[in-house]
Amino acid sequence: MNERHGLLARFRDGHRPDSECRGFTLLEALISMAVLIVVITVLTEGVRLMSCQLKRATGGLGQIQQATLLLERIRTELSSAVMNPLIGSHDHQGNSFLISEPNGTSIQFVTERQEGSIRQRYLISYEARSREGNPRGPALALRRKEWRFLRSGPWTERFTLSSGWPTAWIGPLVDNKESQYQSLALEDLRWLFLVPDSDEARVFFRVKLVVRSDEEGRLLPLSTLISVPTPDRPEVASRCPCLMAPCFHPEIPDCDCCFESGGRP
Amino acid sequence: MTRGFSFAELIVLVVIAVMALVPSITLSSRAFGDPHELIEWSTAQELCLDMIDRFKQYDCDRPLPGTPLESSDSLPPPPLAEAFGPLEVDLNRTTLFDRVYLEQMRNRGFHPMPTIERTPIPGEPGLFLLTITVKWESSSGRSQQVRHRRICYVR
Repeated sequence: MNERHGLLARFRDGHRPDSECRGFTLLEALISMAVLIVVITVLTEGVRLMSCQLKRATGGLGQIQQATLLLERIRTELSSAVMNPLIGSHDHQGNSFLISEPNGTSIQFVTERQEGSIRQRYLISYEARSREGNPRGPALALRRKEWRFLRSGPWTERFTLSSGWPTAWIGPLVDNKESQYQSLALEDLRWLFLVPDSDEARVFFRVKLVVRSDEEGRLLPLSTLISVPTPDRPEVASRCPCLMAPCFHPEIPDCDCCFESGGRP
Repeated sequence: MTRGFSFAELIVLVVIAVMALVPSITLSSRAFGDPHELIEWSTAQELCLDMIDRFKQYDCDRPLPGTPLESSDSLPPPPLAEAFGPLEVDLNRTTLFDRVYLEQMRNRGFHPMPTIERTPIPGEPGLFLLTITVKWESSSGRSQQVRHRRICYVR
């Protein structure tokens, strides 16, 4: 008993029982190997898990960022879309811009940009086409094309996507991107044209898109609402011409107060 | 002087190393895992900004879309579709987006329509304060909200 206690004490203190350089016992070697295997397994699994998570997070965040950037680009372009002066706002579809029917997956519109001292017009096309031949891949392929638009004034003609724009109005192709949006894994894209019932001197576009995340195949919906001013903007900000007159109150919209002093607002 | 590590010391060292590694992996899982909260905040921000854009030029005398009729004298409110929200109101026209969006909104405890308030600003008759609030319960169970305010011109 005393001998056993003595061995344990020596083992605990790090002293080998017989001599200072006798080497490991079989039991020690086996335990060491078992511990080593456990440590290596845990380390390998930990590193693998971290790499997977890093890859998934980077991919997922990159995909969200790409989709957000696409929506922001669309917002910028549509916000400065050329809208012709028309009597009814609903008539803009088929005139100022074209949306594919019946699904609304593609759009063509003219946008303006300031380049130096001149305003340059461009015809932008976003076309979402079904992918064929790869059932495991994303459902849609997005292609963005941009041409110089040579028509400088307004127009009254009506078009469809199949008939297209008059060739004399279309300049050289400036941009043609499809591969850029491949990693987006687009499953659905819709363009909606929305016209308010009351006259707000603006119309709206809602863009809805669904992307599929890489790893789990989960669907992620993203959407944005874009307002576009129309040329029939009223000259005053309210129904009364004297918005800033001291007599005017929004809860009592009595426009007579505007004419009390002098007849003209 | 140069005895090196004992067997017991080695085992203790290994246990400590494993104990340090496990929380690191757990922390990494949380940090790099599913970006639930990012998507939640992003959805809430999008909803608020959309509604700010929609109602910043909306006629102040007009009731908000989808609200109940206040009295028989007041103007009838326009249908909810006039809010131009992300979800399609007409069930016959819903798409994959609407189905996925609605499901995720339900799972995250979002209400599809944010709270919209229009408040007159005392002393500024041509202006009003537009407040849009989105509330939801986050994946961690906490109650969250995003509120955007903007001063707008009366139309």
